This record gives sequence, C-alpha cells and structure tokens, in this order.
Amino acid sequence: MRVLFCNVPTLKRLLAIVVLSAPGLAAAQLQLTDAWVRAVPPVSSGTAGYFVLQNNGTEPVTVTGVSASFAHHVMMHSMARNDDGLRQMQHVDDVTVAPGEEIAFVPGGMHLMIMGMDAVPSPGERVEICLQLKGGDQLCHDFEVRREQP
Amino acid sequence: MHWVRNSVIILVLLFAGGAAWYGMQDQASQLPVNTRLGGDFTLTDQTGERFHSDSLDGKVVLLFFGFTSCPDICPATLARVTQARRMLADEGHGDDVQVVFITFDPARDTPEHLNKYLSFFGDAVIGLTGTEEEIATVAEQFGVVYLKTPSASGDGSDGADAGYDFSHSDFVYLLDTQGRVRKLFQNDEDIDLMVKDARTLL
Ligand SMILES: [Cu+2]
Repeated sequence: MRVLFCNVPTLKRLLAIVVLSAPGLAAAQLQLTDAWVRAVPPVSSGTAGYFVLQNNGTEPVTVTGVSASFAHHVMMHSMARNDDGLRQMQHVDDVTVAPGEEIAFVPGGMHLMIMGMDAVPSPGERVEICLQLKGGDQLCHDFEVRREQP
Repeated sequence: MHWVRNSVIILVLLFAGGAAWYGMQDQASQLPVNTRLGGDFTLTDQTGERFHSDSLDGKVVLLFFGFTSCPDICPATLARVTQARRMLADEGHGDDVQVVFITFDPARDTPEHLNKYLSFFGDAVIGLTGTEEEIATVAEQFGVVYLKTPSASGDGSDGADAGYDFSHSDFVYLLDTQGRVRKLFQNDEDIDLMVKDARTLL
C-alpha cells in the first residue's frame, strides 16, 4: 500500500490529503486534521496526541491501534467522569467512525496516550504517528509538537 | 408634558447611579471570599526546602493539584495557568502573581523531579510535594478529592509506565493576597477570564 502525503501548514491547522493507489481501501476516504502532540518537559513519562479524523467514505472505518517510531506504546484513551465525579482515563480498544462522521481527539477528551518515548520531542518538532485500520490499512501522519492547542 | 421630562431625569439619575456603582465595584473585587476552602499549609518545595503557605502572603496565587505523570490535563493546565501569569507579568505584575502546583504523587514527584519538570514552564512555578499524609491534609483543605487508580496504560510490567494514575478533581484556585480562596476555575477556563479575575485582586 502506498500512502502519499501533502502537508499544507497554515497558521491554524494542518490539513493532510491522503491519496491511495488502490481504490476501495478504508484509508482512501479518511481525512486527518488538527494533528498535534503536546509538548511536555523532557523528564515526562508520557504525553498526549490529538487529531480529528473524518470519514468521507461510504463504509465505517475502525481504528484498531496506533503506533509511532519514537515511542514504544501509543494507546487510545477516553476521559470520563467516574462514579465519584472524578476524571479518569480509560483504555479504548478501537474506535469506529461512521460514514460522513468525524471523531475528535481533544484535550480533556479522547486522546492518544504516548508512552515509552526514546526521547521526548521538543516544541516545533514533527513526529509521525500511524493509525492501524481494520482490514490492514494504515494511515500515517505528521503531528506537530506544540505547547498549546492550535 | 412634565412626565416626559421627569422620566428623562429619572433615567439620567438611574444611569449615573449605575455608573457610579459599577465604578465602585471596579475598585474592589466582586469575588466573594470562600470561607469553606483553603487555609495554612506546610509542604516541601522543588528545592527540597520546607515551604509554608504564609510565604505566599502579599501575592495573588493560582493554585492547583495534579501529578506529572499525567499526560493530558496536568501539562495543559500548567501551560494555561503559566500563560495567565505571563500576561499579568506583561502588565507589570510579575512579582505579584504566583503559580503553585501541588502533586498527589510524592513517590514519583520528588522535589528533584518536580524541579526538572516545572522548569519547562518557566521559572515562576512553585512545585510542592510532601508525605502522603501532608498532601492528603492540604487536598482536604481545598476540597480536592483524588483516588489512586490502576493505570489505563497497563500495570507497568512492560515498562509502559509505573502502573498507576490518579483520578482527581481538577479546579484551579484563585487565592487573594491574604491566602483566601476567591474563585474556583475549571481547568480549561478561558485564560482571559483568569487574568481578569486575578487582576481584581491585585
Ligand atoms: Cu491517557
């Protein structure tokens, strides 16, 4: 599978256009935007990643896993109030985006939990993170490392 | 048509009165003193020195609790609160506003670790740790509830992390120059509002 990237940085957001060589693949109709990783102190044990994933296709798309070359573990977490009214992170095995829908990973909500980093990336750096899709496709994208939400 | 003129006069008087009242309110903060929360405390700061809350007297304080292994809310809150302080510093109040971070996690958040972690957010954050009992006491003073929970990222056996998180209430407390709680912000509160409210206490 070939995935081609064309990053168009603007002041506010990054927009990726994903082109696939073979039609009918789940990733073909996916648009990933607002991709960023929180800049955290170099001594941090982990950080969080955020993005918006839009499904422009006619079939539901399921993200089954996430990986990054700079970190040993990337997980999908939700953030919910528990019975005591406290915020608690919860591991999520997979996430499905219905046709025409989008899902947002945002601070205080769903997020990528990035652990076991070889080196904590600095503000301004770009790191590649890949979403594994049900059916075997993979969607990779550059995430900007920044201190504040774009 | 006296009633027209009288009405106009009454309106003018009302307006003038309102403006005067508004002006007075602008002088003194409208934020009520929260008498249920807060109080004196002693903990250990990121240099390893004992820290008593009376050393904050005379400063407006933005205080919150967290733990540095938290990847999402805590660094986000630190970034926002330190930005609020920077904005007040730009107005010349840098020495009058203090950001204070209190950890729930003394095992991992040692003074040395806090020192390295917090320096990323500028040199103006006081990081506090202590014994579990000391921290529990301060948390209770501020009505903070926290709970050690198994990590959502696994048990730590594979080196992913140290195996636990804290779920916790996550307000930012605005304290006045006498250490009294004047407002609780949601951790994702608009930075401009934090600045505006803090300014009324300066
Ligand atoms: Cu998480």
